[in-house]
Amino acid sequence: MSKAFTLALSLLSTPALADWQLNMNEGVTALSREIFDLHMLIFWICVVIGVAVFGVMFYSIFKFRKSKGAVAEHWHENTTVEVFWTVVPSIILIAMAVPATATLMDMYDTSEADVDIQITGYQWKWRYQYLDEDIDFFSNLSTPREEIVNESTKNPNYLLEVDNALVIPANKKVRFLVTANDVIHSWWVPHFAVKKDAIPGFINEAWVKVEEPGVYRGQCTELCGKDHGFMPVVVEVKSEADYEQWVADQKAMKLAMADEASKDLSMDELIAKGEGVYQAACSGCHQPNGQGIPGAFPAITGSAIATGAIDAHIDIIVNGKTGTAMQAFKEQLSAVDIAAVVTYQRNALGNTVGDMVQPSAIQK
Amino acid sequence: MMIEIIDIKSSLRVKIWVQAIWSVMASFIGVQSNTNRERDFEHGRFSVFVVAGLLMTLIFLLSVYGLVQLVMMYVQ
Repeated sequence: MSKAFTLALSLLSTPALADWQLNMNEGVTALSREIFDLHMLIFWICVVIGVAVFGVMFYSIFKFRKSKGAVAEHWHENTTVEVFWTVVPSIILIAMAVPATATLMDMYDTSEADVDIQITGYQWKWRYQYLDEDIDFFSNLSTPREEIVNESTKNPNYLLEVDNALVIPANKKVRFLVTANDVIHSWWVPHFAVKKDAIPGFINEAWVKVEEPGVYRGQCTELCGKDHGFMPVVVEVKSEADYEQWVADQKAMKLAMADEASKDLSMDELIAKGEGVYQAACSGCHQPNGQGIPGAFPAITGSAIATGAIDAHIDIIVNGKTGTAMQAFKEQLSAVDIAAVVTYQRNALGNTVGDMVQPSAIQK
Repeated sequence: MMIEIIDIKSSLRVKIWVQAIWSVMASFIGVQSNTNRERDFEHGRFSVFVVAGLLMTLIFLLSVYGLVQLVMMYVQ
């Protein structure tokens, strides 16, 4: 007895138990707390009903058991009871709809937002466009491949880290316009209590007003293909001043990128840069070693395109190939990135074509 | 004598309508006693049930609409 007690105590005090949180998050916004409170209210109503219904049921089963000589009664109907158990749940449902409607109306009130951001789901990355700021970037998974294939220890944010996080200001109402480019995705950040389907051709709206700066993580939550589990969401909430600085930095970076695109790079520079671009943008399908997946994704090594005419090679990366999984990368990659990855694919992964292309030659 | 017959006739008509409305309401929540069901099938008139059904549907729609308006008022 005392052994079992000690075991139970030690289990309860194990920190691992904290990971076994089954309830939803309270979140970090006024709205998420409102949703949490509603959830708890409905939960307790369900608990009370459950205890009452099962209590009566189990009591009846026990009290009127066969071994005590209970004999089943044969009767056809009891209209009073039937009306009671139909009308009472209806009243409970209507009563629950009142606070639920209040919360839903808050959730759908996307008016008077300070910042508007379009979120587009791609296979398998997110694109963030700041509608008032001319800021537009893609957010790719940044977990190293070694961790994914169990060659190194997984970090705490394993598969929940990206190269470019979505940055939003604290204490401002931020409106998200959620859509998709290829298949249905769903943008989900549990701490914001925001989970919105991203559907091609539709724009769904959500909003958030976070009080505290911090980093909040989420995932795609609509099965969207091979790398569905590899397109996380990371949102960095900055103080207002930091956010303004970030916006200024992004604009300066854009100018610098345009400047870089007009410069010529050496073969080595292009290949070095191209390797990073390849691993981030291409290796998901064509595989890190360029061998592809036979029957699904063609190999880059020895491919007719990657070893053939360079213009056709550039074209398939810029415009994609209709009817296949090959996307158009003109909006996802800069001219420098495209020039680098084309040069890399032609002169690495087992290919030795020997030619290269400069960013200035990429027509998007 | 004549007046008495008219009275009986009109009270019978009211009874038919009240019964039909009750039966329609019972059907809305899926509960009906066997006695009432047999009575409706033996003595009820089809047209009365159709009209009562349409009427109750309209009342149901209006009450849902009213309820939603009430909740919205309460919420805002």
